[in-house]
Amino acid sequence: MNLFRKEIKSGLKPFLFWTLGLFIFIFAGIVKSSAAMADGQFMVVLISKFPRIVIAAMGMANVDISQFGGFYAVLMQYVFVLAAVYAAHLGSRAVSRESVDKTYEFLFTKPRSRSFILARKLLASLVFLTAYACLNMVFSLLAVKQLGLAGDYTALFARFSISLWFVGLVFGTLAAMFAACFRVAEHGARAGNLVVVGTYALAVVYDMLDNPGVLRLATPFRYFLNTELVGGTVALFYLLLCVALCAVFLFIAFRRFERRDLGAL
Amino acid sequence: MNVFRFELRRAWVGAAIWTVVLTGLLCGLITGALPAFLESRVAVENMLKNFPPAFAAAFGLVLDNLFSFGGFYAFGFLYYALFGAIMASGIGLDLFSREKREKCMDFLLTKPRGRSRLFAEKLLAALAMLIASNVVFVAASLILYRAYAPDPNMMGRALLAASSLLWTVLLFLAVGACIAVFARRVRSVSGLATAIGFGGFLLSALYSLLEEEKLRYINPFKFYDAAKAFFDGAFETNYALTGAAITLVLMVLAYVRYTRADIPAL
Repeated sequence: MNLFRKEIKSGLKPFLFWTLGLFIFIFAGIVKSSAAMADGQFMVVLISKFPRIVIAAMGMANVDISQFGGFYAVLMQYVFVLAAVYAAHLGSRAVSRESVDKTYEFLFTKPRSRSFILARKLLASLVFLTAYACLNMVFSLLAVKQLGLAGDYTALFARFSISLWFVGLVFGTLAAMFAACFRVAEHGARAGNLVVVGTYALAVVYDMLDNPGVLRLATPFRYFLNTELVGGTVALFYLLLCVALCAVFLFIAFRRFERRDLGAL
Repeated sequence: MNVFRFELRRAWVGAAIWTVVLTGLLCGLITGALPAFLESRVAVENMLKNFPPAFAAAFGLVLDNLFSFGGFYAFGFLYYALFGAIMASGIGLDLFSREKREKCMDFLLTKPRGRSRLFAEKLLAALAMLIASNVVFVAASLILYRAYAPDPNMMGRALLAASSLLWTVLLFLAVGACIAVFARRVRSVSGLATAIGFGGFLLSALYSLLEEEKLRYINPFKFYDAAKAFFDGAFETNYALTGAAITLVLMVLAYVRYTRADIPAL
């Protein structure tokens, strides 16, 4: 438990920082939503005349921004990016922080296996990610209450928060795997971050195409589509895919971490 | 010029790859989507006929501006700026925190070179990479402008619009350098660079969602507005000045800190 407590303590400050970003984004966005929705009908008709590629570049593909759900979906796609960058940070931090800080000799000579230590560290990361998804829900509810918006959006927010959590899990475990696979800590972190940037670019490309097809498999940002989440469903197949991907990434991360040379590269 | 050469050798591959990605993105968007975009003008015009004219005016829709090379270029600029910001803040962080990360500050600072000289050489290396990368980007923009714009006769404006990436990127270089110099330790360059880049991206998204004029002063991607450069032939003075002032202040802060800071024993 010592290790877990220490990880929570040292991760608290960055967590608060990321939460602040989330808070500002959700509150400012939702409070402004009514004005955006008032113009919504005109915008929807206007936007529908543009070619798909431009709509996608504006980040408004597949949503109806004259409805609150659609506006929230636009807002959330940026929150997904925020969460993905944070999750990647959490994942690679759990694996390679001791190497970067050059404290690995202190920790890994303690009578605990590497897997034991890594599990505690990843558990702390999981707690932060879960808290982040929950706070997303809480902030959204508070903002809507503040605004006095009619209607019950709890289920909508819950669907978005759950998918946020799963997407975060995929990126977090992926970053952990990369951090464990590369000998140089910075290379591992770089690979994890590049995947976030790359898959985000793919997500925009996905929006640009009329028939993206299998491209959806390649980018976790589109595992849970706006239309589905606003419509009231969560794609079960992709939910299971997330779980499967996490399991694979974690398996590789633990295996590699058990066997790798520890060093301060 | 040892430091300059060393930093250049260490970082040029990354900068070159980013340049290729950035230019590829530009070419892909313009060759792939510009023609379809220009064609959609007819549909939009027809639709606007059904609305009262005041509506279109309220949205500031000037169709001649929107459906032009410049209008489309400005749509994509968000993404060029995102990639450029990650690249530039990465270079700033990487160069100015190198000795801190590798815990060899004392090695560099005991050499018979003033700290301002070291700072200048590092800055020069960063500038060299960013400017080289932007020369490629601007050249690509101008060639595409020549080839794809319906009437490419305002090369001066196109050049100014294409240069807005360079100015934006310099701002992020200053941000990166400042963080690198002030942070107690830099654990991961790429992590911080991604966070800074997406931070700018999110601020920009927030601005376009809220459409609050005041927010533009904290929107780093819009200080040098490519669309305005295309249509008016100049950036908006107060925003461009804000951007330039922030860049300069951050750079000076970084310089002061780099030349004065105490170096902790290892």
